[in-house]
Amino acid sequence: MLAWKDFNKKSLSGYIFLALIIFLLDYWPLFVPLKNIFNWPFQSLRESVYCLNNGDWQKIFSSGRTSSLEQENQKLKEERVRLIGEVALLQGLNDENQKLKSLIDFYPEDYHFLPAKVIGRSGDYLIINQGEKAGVLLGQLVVSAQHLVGRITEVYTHEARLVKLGSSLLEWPVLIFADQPDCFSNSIVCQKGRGIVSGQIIKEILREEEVAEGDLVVLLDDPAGILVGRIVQIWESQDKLFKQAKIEKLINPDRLTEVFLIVK
Amino acid sequence: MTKSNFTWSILVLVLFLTAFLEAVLIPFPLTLVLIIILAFYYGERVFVWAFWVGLWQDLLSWRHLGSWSIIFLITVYLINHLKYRVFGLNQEKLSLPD
Repeated sequence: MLAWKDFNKKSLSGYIFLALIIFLLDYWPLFVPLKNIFNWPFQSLRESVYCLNNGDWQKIFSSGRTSSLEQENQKLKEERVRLIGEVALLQGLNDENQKLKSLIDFYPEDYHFLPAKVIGRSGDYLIINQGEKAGVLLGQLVVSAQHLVGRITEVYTHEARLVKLGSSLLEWPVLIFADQPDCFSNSIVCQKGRGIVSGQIIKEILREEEVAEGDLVVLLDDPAGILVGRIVQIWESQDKLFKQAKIEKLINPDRLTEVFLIVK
Repeated sequence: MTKSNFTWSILVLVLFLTAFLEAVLIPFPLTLVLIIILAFYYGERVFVWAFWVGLWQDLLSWRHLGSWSIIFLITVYLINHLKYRVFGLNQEKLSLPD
């Protein structure tokens, strides 16, 4: 008691020291039990005060009828959120339906499609959510509408990895044709040249072939006609025997969320 | 209970209520203002309550424990220092009797 009185007389330095000690000790969970004891009786008070701070005065002072109306309102809001989710789901299904329809219109009848979702990417690869269980095979082509996305290189039970279009890991024989009406559905007639695409470069285009910037590039075979890209630059190769061209992709594989695997 | 003690008790109660109001309702440093006023009139006697009110406010406002105590104590010290050393007011007159 005497020590406490003495402490009181010393005042400032003692209190500041004590406050500093408490301040430092609060970096450890030493005062947590004290805070819990303190907070327990104040919990409902805090809730009321939080409502007050949010301007939600009605929640505290509302009558029984008002309260039930508010509950009903809250339920309606939750129902609205659920319905918005359902609409989004239906919209997604509709989009998928539209894409499948365009695939059926474009490809021969004996081709089928397996839809897959892109679930990740790393470097030149995309990862899809279909694997061996769904019948995915090595070398299978992956498309998005009429555009080539890549080729399956690794198959796991429930996942598969594909090399993206534009990667230098794969080479594709391609056909070059003019970007004119009716040429897309009949590319063989409008063809201007052939080559082998590796990465974003088309190699081994014969010098006499009249390829030009803006021409479209499609896969040559198996199945033919899948869009690879558009020529943006042409130059002669170092050995002067061939031409080379740079292509730009018409889709960005990194932005895709849904793709289709071609099943023969 | 003497009149002086009664007044002082009321003031301490008001101090704690102000800290409560500040922590839960009004985002304005009301307690600090009140501490400054009390420090000016009651001098060193406010030290002990500045310390406890600081802790009380830290607990109410979920702040780091001891932070408001330190702020209040330093404020009280500065007020006292200004009062006695800068403005030259007579310490004996303003200090409360033992």
